[in-house]
Amino acid sequence: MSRGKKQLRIYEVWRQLRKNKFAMAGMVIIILLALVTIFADQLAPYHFETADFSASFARPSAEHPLGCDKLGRDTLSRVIYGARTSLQIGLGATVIATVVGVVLGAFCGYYGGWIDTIFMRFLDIFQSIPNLLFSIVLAASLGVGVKNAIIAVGITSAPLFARMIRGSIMQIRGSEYIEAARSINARDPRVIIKHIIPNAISPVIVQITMKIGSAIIYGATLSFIGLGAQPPTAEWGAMISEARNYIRNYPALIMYPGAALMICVLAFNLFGDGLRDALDPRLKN
Amino acid sequence: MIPTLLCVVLLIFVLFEITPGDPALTILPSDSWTEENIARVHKELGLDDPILVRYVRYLGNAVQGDLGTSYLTKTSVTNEIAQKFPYTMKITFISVIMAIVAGIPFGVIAAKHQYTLTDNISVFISLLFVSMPNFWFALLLARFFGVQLGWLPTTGVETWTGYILPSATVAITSLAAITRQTRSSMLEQIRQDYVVTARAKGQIEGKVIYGHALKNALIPIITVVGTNIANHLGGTLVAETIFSIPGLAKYMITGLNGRDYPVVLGSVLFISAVFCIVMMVVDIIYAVVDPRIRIQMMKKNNSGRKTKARKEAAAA
Repeated sequence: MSRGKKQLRIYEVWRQLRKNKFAMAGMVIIILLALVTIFADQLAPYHFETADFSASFARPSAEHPLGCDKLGRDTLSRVIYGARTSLQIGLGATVIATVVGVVLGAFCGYYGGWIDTIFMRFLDIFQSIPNLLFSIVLAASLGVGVKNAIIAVGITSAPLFARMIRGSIMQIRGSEYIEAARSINARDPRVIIKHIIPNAISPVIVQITMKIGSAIIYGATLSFIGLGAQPPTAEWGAMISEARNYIRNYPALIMYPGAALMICVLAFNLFGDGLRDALDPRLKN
Repeated sequence: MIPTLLCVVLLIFVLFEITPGDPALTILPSDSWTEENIARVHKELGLDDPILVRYVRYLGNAVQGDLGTSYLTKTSVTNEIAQKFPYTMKITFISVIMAIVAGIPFGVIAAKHQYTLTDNISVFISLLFVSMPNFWFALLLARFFGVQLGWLPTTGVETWTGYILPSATVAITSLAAITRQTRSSMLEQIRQDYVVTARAKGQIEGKVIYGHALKNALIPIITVVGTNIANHLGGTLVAETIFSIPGLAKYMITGLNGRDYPVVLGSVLFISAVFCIVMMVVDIIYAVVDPRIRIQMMKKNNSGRKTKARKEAAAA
């Protein structure tokens, strides 16, 4: 019975989502990106480190569809491999933010009281430092590199998640079915896992989708400043940073990774927007 | 606000304590990395003391307006910040104005023409802007207006034209957010009865939209502007590095790379303080814009005073 109902709900959401052309476009792009990321080794014509000095700044040709950078590395291959690194940072950071945020938010929202007050004050402090500033400080003090960039972006985004989850849990905590569950002597973990999380999940899912986009941007920004992915790793932000020195004569070199970055983030935002409308029709106007 | 700032400083202190890296190594030339030398530098900088002692000492000085001396350049951090902050401040301020001036009319137009091509285009463009990385947009602007057309300078801020590109860079993300919020809260207001009434009595359409509906739709828009101020401050850091503006960001990033603790601490503390003040100002603006909130605040104060008076009376 309960399983059937769940399937019905997912089907309903899917039916809503399918009607939204923007959201479907976003989803198609996300799937394509995932495929590109997985099959980068097969798809890319060259390895991202392969340098060919005779092809330095080569114009687009049959051999190099998007041309080459200063070291004669194939731009198309680097953009393809860059998807891997950029998505890794974006998704990794979102996973960290979600886990920290859900645990902290659920804990505070459910128990309330002085624990809640202390944690929320603590999050206030985190949030009084502008996000990007805080991730720059974190990334720089942890040391440069992809792994630390993921941690830095993840930790900086966590407070927002925690706050949101706490809010929706506090709303649910007061409802009658929770009281009913308690009255039949259900223990706390059971109430949280069985009743509260399934009901609090939809705004969280929407937020996660929307945050992947901004996490990718933050990660790329860190790499652009020189705190994230280091050369010769292919990463969109780092590629733009390298190409920046030749922007006067070879502007195309910043166009490709930048466009890839924008399309990728746009896809997650479109999909997130559509998902929000499908999950909560009340928000639609 | 004060407790928040105390904790911000503590947070950065702890962060530097638990992460690897030693300022002594960046101060000393690499051929004199002997143990005595490093110990001597630590002693000079007072890094031998326990973290709490250093923390209290730092706060004591900070209260008196002394944010310490840079390890590397030996200049006063307070003076440096006072010199560099105006650039950061100007860019942030101009960009907020740009975002508001462009964002609200776009949102209103989109709401007025809901579900038409105009609406769809404006929704799509605002999504595009949200998805555009600041630093990339900055480079595109610099390349087009600076190199291609040669209209605007791409580095420095010697003339006022130098502020245009950096501010535009910072403005786009929140411009999009403001457009979206304006659109959705205007849509809510346009359907209200008072709008019908205003139209029925023959009010000019422009006044109905901007005088009645927009006025009521303003609160959530102000919230979005307020929460985006942090993004503006962050975006300014990026814009400064791209357009080589000698602002706080450059200062802080140089400090970070050299593990120049006082520089980083001072900059972060200062930016956070500015941010806290801005948020307070936003709260005040709420009350100015919406009389309902103003009355609520007054009631709260009055009832507070009354209970206090009652308590005092009871004590007497």
